[in-house]
Order: sequence, then C-alpha cells, then structure tokens
Amino acid sequence: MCGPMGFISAFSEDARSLYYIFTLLLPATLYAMGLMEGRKGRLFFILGLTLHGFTILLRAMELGTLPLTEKHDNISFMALSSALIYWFMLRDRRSNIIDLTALPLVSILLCVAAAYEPINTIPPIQRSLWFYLHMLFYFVSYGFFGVSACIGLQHLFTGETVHEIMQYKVAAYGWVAFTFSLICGSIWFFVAYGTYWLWTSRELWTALAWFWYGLYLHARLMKGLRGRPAAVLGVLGFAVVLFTYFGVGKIIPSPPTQF
Amino acid sequence: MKTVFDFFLSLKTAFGLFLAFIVLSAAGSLVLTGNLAFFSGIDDMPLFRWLAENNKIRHIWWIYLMIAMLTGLAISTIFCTAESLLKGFTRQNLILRLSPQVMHAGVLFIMLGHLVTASFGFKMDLQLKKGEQQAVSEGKAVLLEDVSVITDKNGYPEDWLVRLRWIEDGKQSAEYLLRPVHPLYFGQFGLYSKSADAEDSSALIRISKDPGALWALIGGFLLCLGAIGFVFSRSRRLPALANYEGIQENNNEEQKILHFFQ
Repeated sequence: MCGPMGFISAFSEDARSLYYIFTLLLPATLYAMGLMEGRKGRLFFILGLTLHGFTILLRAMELGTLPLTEKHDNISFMALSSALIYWFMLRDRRSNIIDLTALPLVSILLCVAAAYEPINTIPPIQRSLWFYLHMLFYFVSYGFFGVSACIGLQHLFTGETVHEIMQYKVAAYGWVAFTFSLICGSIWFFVAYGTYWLWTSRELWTALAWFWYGLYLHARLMKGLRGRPAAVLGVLGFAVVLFTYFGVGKIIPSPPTQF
Repeated sequence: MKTVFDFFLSLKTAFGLFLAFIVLSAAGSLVLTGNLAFFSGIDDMPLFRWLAENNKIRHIWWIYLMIAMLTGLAISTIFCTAESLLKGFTRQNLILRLSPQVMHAGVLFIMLGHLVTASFGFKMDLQLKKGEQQAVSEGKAVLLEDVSVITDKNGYPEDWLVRLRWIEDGKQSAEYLLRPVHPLYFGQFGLYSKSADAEDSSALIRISKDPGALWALIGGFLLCLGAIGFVFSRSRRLPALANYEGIQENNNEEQKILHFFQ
C-alpha cells in the first residue's frame, strides 16, 4: 500500500487512534476560530472546512467507498453537511448572525465524532447503493436540521421574522432530504431482508422524527402557532433527531431480532 | 355531515393527529423496551396475525391506537387533497399547489402498502445446512447446495455466496446463487440471505411474500416526486407561497433571502 493509505496503515494501533482524533479535532478548532470577527474568522472557517473535507476524502480512500457506515464517519459527515449549509448561507450577510450557534454546533459534532473509534470493515449487507443513498440523505438532512435549529434559536433570541422564515425553509429542505433518506433506506432494507419496516425503537423514533418535522411544517400554517411556538417546535425537532441517532438503542433498546 | 367534512378538513385535526402519532410512537417505544421478550416475534409474521396471536391489550394498545390515528390521518389527507384539487390550478401555481397533494398521495400509498403487508404478507426464516431441504409452503421448498464466505485479511466477512435450488411440486430448479442484498424471486416469494456460516456450511434465509411492497414503492416514488416539486416551487415562488400559505410576513423580507435558495 502506498500514498496516504500506506502512511495511515503504517501506524501502530495507538498512533492510528491519535491520528483519527487529531484529524477531526484540528478542523473542529479551526471551525471554532471561525467565530472571530471579520475576514479572519471566515479564513479560519474555510481552512477548517477544507481540512475537514480532506479528512473525509482520506477516509473514503481508506475504505474504498463513501465513509458513511459507522458513527465516527457518520457524525463527521453530519458536521460537514452542517458546515457546507452554513457556508452556503454565508452568501447572505443577514445570516452571519448564526455564527454563534452554527459554528459551535459543527465543532461539537466533530469532537463527538472523534470520540468514536473508526471501524474499517463494512458488513456485506451494507454494500448497496441504496444503503449509501440512505445514509447520504440521512446525514445531509441532519445537517439541514442542525442549521435550521441554529437559526431558530437565533429567532427565539432576536424575534426577527426573517430568521423564522429561514428556519422554516432550511428545515423544509432537511425534511425533503430526510424523506429521500427514508425511502432509500426502506428500499435497501427490503432488498436486504425482504421487509421495509421493523417494530423497533429506532424505526419508531425515526418515524416520530419525520412526523415531528411534518408537525412543524404544518404548525407554521396555523395562525396561533406561527412565529415563536413554531420556532420552538423546529428547534426541538433537532433534539428529537439527535436523540433518535444517539439515544435510541442505548436508552430505549429494541426487541431482539435477527436483523 | 358538514361537521364531519369540516373536522377532517381542519388543519387543527391534522395537527392533532400528527401530535397523537408522535406521542404514541414515543409511548410505544417505551412499551417495547419494557416487554422485549413479548415483542421479540413481532417482525417474524404479518402484523395483524401477530396481533391476533398476541392479544395482550396492555402491551399492544398503542399499536391499535396508532392504526386508528393513521386511519384518521389518511381520511384527513384525502379530504384536504380533494378540496385542493377541486379548487383548480393555474399554470403559475400548478407545481406549488400540486406537489403537497402528490406527497399526500404518496403517504396514502405507503399506508396502503403497510396495510396490505400487515394483512396478507408472509414471512419465514429458514436455517439450512448444506444438503438440507425445508418446506416453505404447500409444494414449495428450498434446498441448500453449498455455502461459501469470503473474508478480508482480518477474518471479517466481505461477502458470502449461498447456492440453492427452488423446489416446486417436486421439480428442482437450476442452481441459483443467493448473496446479501441480492435477493432471488420465485413467483411471489422473495429469498433474502440474512447470514451465512462457512464453518458448519449453514445459511439463514428469509422467505417473504410482500403484496404491499409495490404499493409502498409507488408511494415512496410519489413522495419523492412531491418533495422535489415542493423544493422547486418554494425556491422559485416564495412570494406566491407566502400568499398561498397565508403567511403574513412582508414579502420583501422573503425576497431578500430568496437568493439563498436559488
């Protein structure tokens, strides 16, 4: 093995762990430094984004496929999605104000990702285009939901209508990506196991999260709920998706199945 | 009658049903967790058969309520979609008005798929050893010819191959290769490779018949199509959207953030 992969595999186990931690903590630090005012802050953010993207590219080369099969890579990708959406929003000067919430979110996500040991084996059942599409849309949607929650928090503090509208739009994009993810996931699961639904806590909470954002999008059409109450629902929606990913399974285990 | 129509057309009803479904999902996950052994076989047979065989109402009340909520949501969706379609469209608002209805139709098809699967589906797991044959249903059986597992340098399975024959009315088919995520279909029966063990040359095969899957797939396709329309219409027609949804905010504010979505 040559090139960067040979370099990585040449490490001892401990050194490899440190390497994986370092490659996420460095962009996390740069993202956090993006909070600095003006061009300096932007420069640090772009540096963090570039390094982060490069880290994910290296993981993709190491695995020989999209690095979306376990928590270390998934959370890192979720952070990248959030950072890219935030970067896209930087084109609008009005959204600069979400720096205070979006950048710490991306940094924290990367620190969480660094806490998980990467796994370099991919179970045969996950070697499917539908699985990768499912995961890709899933974590892109999490990115949208995260940024949407950041804008929602901003609205709750400032009360500015424009933030509330932006929160809704970004969440709507997230909901669409989430829908794609669930459809792709169902197709993958059907092709793998002959069923597209399981009665497990994870499935129930995933459906719950989808319905939660459906509730939020409908709430915004109702007179009494428009504005602050809807914004709270949108922010809580991100807490629901985070709990679905991190909490369900550990806190709420599922019945034993052969899946 | 009008009261019933108004009730199901109301956004408040839809909101209430969404909320009820959310509460029931959360409650259901807790009931599942508290009774793991009881629910262990729920995914091994069609839902309605499992419910009939495991009729402990203190454990399954939430599933019945969920079905009731989804039925209410389906009725509400049909009413809202019908009302919207009857209002008619113009060329300008076609995608804007149609995309939520396409999504609604998708949700209805998915619900229909689940209903059909829960009523008429068939699931069975076969643990077969090399050379072993097991019956699937009347006149149908599976014969396992051989199993091989491909491992990586660390010994983890990268892929496995299950060689089998489908037997129908005593006639053996040619040899087929079953791999993970590459199912085989014999008539209405699908064969899925869940796991394989090279050491004792055995394989776990899921046999299923899912008459609702096609409906659910159509629903998924419509849901995605509607979602694409939803994104497209909202990124192109924000001021119109503001009017359509009764959003009272200043359109100028929306215009200012338009470029983010375009």
